[in-house]
Amino acid sequence: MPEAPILELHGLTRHFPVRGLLNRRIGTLRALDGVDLAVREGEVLGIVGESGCGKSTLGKTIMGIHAPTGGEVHFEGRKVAAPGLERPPEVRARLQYVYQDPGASLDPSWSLRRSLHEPLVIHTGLPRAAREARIREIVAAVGLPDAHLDLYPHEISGGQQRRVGLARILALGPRLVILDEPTSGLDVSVQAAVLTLFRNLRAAFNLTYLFISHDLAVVRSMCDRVAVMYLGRVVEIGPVAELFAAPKHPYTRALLAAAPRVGGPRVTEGFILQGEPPDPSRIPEGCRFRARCPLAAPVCAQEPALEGSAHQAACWRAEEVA
Amino acid sequence: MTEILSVENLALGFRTEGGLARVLDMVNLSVRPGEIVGLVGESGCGKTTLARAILGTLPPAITRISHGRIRLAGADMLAGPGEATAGAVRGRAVTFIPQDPFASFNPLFRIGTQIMDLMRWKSPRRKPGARTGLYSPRRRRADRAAVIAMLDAVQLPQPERLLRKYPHELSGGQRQRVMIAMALLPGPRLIIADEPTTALDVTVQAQILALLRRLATERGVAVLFTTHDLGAAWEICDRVAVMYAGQTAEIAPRESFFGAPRHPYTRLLLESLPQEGRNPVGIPGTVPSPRAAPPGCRFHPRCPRASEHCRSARPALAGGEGHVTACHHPVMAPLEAVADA
Repeated sequence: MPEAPILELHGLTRHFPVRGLLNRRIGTLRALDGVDLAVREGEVLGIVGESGCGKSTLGKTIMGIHAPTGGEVHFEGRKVAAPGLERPPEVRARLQYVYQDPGASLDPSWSLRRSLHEPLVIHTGLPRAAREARIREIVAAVGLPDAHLDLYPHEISGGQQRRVGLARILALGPRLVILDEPTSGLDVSVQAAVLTLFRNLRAAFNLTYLFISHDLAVVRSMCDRVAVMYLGRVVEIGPVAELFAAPKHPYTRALLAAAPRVGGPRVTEGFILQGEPPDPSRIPEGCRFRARCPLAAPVCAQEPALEGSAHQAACWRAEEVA
Repeated sequence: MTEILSVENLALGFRTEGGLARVLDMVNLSVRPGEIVGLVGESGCGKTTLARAILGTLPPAITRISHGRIRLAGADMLAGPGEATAGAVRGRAVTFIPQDPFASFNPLFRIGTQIMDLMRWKSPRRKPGARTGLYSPRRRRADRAAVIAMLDAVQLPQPERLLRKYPHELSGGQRQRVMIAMALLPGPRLIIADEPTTALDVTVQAQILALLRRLATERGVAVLFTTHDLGAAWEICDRVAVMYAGQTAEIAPRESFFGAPRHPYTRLLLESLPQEGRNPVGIPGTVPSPRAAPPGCRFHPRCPRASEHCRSARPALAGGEGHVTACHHPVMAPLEAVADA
């Protein structure tokens, strides 16, 4: 019997108004447009897609940085976000968000010890000695020497700052961590070390990750399941090995075909997808991928839903092509 | 001499408050007509400095060139204030595609104005030796036709309408297409592309790489393609050069570079690529600061094969059949992980 999901999204929607002259509303940017998703306890779910597909908005809406325009977020069995719903404060410690560079959020004029104590002061009533013990435990887990606690952020390297930033997040004992593009802009040798750190921390603290990235190779090596987003919707979701081996949605296929892989065939020789994703404030009717899709048919004028059991795709023609 | 570009034993540094930062240390590189050479390496390894040195656009007040020479299409790019030759070469025989096309357009002028400004000075129809910006209506008409044809060649729809647009009205992929068109319009023999697809999404990157490769091959233009994305280098390059901390580590044809790299740094770099069913190892340690670079081979503090010899003596590029390595202890076996893929 599968465990109950730790995080569930039901028709999650986030629209942003587009304003013109005199702040008049002239359109709607549909950044998230009905996302259904379930994250199981202990898994790493990857979210991939091109820029503007809504993957960061998804993470921020789950976190409560954006309020949803529609739909619901359930975390550990209770409703934590819906239109007009105040977020229960005890959720904040258990659901954490890691920015691209967690080290950049350290206060330069605070010692690392003070930065690390801060979340515990805010969220727990622990006495100082208990906080200190907890911090030492976490700092050891992220691979920093104790002696560094009295230093200031500028005295340690960027990689160490990143570790301190992560330690701060882990000090609160979160269950689910949202990683938003944690490796973009890193060199491959650094990226490998960062990914190893994420893996070790997940094993040590029993974490569940929502791993948002545009880098397919990283997602493939890191995640258990992956969801592909296109213009605010999930178009395909499935176990990593299955989805990468036999993608069902034509967009996923194009995305996989476009990423050059060392040792693979030259992708530029047979690449067919043309154009760029349309503006999310002018999403086409019906299937969003219709205008660029090589398989588009008249039936695609209606929006398809995700279909399948473990490996789902939102495409009318997925079965006939597979 | 067949090379369009040759960089020989180039060493240069920048004067800083903390002393001389020796950013490039004995760099060798050559590009033959019509080939695409990838220049890869991590951030801070000197890729961009090398590209700017080739173009001769380094800040003269703080740059100190201690050794070496750069020959580009027969002209010496380090000849100093003799700007005449370099000026005729720069923007004509060699052009540049930047990483961020948005930062390279002036947001206040239409695309058409900016392209025609380029053609006024750098058009192949301009008389050699002309000193003024005189622009005869006849040349303007011919140039405009060439611009339209080129925009068509980079697969931009409705080039006439595009020329009337402002840079912000174009998407990232379109802007990079315009940049490629502008790099090709002066009829160059070499294009230096500095991470041209880093800012783009992967499906757009595939289109741009395909376009660059096709146009370069069709027109016989050589491309020096700097990137930190090894996948992109695999995709379009004929030869690949890897740099580490300002030193050339290895130069090899694409197949042997990825299939049987000899330099320990190249191997570690390739083994750091994320792959299914393997925990990438990464490279322990960090890139040294150019102000306090280690003596000998600059990679020795991080190298698993380093010996006493590597600490004292700088290895020279050696090897045969176009595959050269600067290492005292090169690895001669093929790389398994990549060979299997």
